[in-house]
Amino acid sequence: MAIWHLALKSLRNRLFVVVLTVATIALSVSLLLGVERIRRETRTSFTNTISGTDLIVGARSGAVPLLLSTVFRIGNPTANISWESHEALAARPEVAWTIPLVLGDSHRGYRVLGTTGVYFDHYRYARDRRLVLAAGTPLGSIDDAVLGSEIAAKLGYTVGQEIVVAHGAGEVSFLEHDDRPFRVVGVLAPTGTPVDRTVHVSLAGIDRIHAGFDDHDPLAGMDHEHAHDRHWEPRSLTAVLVGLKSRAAALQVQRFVNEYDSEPLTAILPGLALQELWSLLSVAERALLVVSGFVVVVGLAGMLTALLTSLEERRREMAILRSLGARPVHVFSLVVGEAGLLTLGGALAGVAALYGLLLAARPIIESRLGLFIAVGAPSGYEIVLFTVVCLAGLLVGVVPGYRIYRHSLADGLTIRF
Amino acid sequence: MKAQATVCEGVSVCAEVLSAAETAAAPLVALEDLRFAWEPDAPAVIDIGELRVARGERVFVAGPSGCGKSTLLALLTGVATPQHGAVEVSSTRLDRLGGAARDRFRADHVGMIFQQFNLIPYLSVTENVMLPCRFSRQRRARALDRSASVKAEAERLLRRLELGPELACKRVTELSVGQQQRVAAARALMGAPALVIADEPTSSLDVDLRETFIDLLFGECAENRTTLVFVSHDVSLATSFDRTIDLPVFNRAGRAGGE
Repeated sequence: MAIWHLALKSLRNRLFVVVLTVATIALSVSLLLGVERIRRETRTSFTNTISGTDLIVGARSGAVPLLLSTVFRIGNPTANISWESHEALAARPEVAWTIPLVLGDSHRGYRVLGTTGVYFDHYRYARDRRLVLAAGTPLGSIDDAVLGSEIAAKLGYTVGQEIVVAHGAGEVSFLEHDDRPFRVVGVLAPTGTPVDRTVHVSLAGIDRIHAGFDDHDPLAGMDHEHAHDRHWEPRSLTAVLVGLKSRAAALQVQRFVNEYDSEPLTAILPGLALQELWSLLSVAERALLVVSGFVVVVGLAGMLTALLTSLEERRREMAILRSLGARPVHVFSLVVGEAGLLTLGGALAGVAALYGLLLAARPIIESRLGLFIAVGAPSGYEIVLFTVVCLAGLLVGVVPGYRIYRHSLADGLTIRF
Repeated sequence: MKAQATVCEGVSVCAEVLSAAETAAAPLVALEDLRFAWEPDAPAVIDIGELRVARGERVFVAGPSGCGKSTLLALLTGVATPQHGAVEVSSTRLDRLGGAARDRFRADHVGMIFQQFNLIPYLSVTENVMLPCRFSRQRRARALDRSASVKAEAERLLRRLELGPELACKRVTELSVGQQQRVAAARALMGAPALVIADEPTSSLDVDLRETFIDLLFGECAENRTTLVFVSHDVSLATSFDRTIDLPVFNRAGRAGGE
């Protein structure tokens, strides 16, 4: 009690250095916990995005790029696959359903996904949740669009509104077609996945965008047979999500796809591709954690410096306390207690700063990176990190604590200045 | 009344020298056959045959610097323990106590005033005076015997030492040296310790302030029958004390080694 009181008063006396030290520790702790939080939330967010799909089939590429472009709408697909390949795949006896996907177009920065009604029947996220319409009806005609919840909320769209889709995936497109808008027929309930930021249209609708694009393209004349072929089948797909009758067949079908003769294709298992993604990211994650760990070490070293610097001038103070009956252990715990208070204060301030930052940055992270950061209670691992930092702070305090302890034994009550 | 202590060559001689009045009551401080060196192999800095200070006595310890005054105080307060002999303060054998017990004893029974830089700079005047009660329950209890609260007792002592309430909440660094020294005296007297030790408390004070300071200190000590051991090289102060101990004469180690 007496010691805490003295430690607090003493710290208040050195307010400027104390504030700097606490701020250093706070920053380092919020960095450490922030890196950990982002890592965890990224994984959760990614893992929750797709489930129930056994295979993803796309043009020949690596597993990770295919996963990123088809499921997370990150990056652009490099090549397409033909409708014939999709039909051959769908005809396999092991295949229960297929969801054709066409990507590559956008509406005001949001991706447009061309697909069929099967998408809404079979797409699953967050283990076993299906897409639900919050308002309106599913895709029907060629002009229909179903919006993800975020688009509807951000852009203020409601059912019945007409929207224009541009060719290409950029945020700004100069080739928009006001004369042929889509009509919003449905808005999906929030999912916390990239689906929320997707405009869903029919395959025929996608074809229509491209047809319109071709009409205006000066090079379109080179490609007449496609421009005039208004078949409901798209000319090509970006990828196909495949559901199997039995998961056991996954490797068999994957092999069929990878050895498909007519065009080079890749089939990936989403779970394995995620694993591959994690192993790719884990090096960077670990590096980030290590760096932020070192930042904490730097913060604590700063505190050590501040404490050691104050030590010489505090020998007198300690001798006075000793003359008043303070035991060496009091003197020791005064300094260690100060280190503990500094670290605890810094760590708590760091957590507060992190939560504030997460709350403030969440909308930006969501819209820019497509990551949903849940601002919830700290995880067990975060609590472990927090505790480790606080204990490390106490441990750091032992160094000046021991020095002042030795001083106070050697100096006794003689105060030489 | 003022007995000049003489050189003691041994216990038996000393016993004869001591007056009847001093031996009648149990002494507050009793040193016997005391030898002390800071290092085990170093020559002794303190070698005293016998020294007794009665309860309530005001003793002036005189001597030039380096004659072992500070070491004697370290022994009396239990900061240092002798290699040989007995240190008894307030019926407690300090030489037989462990380090923590000596610290506790000091907290309970000894008040100290130093030459300068006495006060904790980040505490207010009153908080400085209240400090001993943070480390000792006994002194806290004795303070509460006199006043309603520790704070009230601190304020009472400050008033006694002519430090008005307008100073109580000030930072100690805003006080003059004389005022600081009186705050230190109030702190040493807080909770009525049996022994108050003052180590050159007047060295940084002007001559007229010295008299005032000593008068105030005496007044408060008399009230509690507090024993006062006052160390100084300024012999002109010695006249107002009950007794003067000339340490270079008294300390056999000082005589042998120093000269």
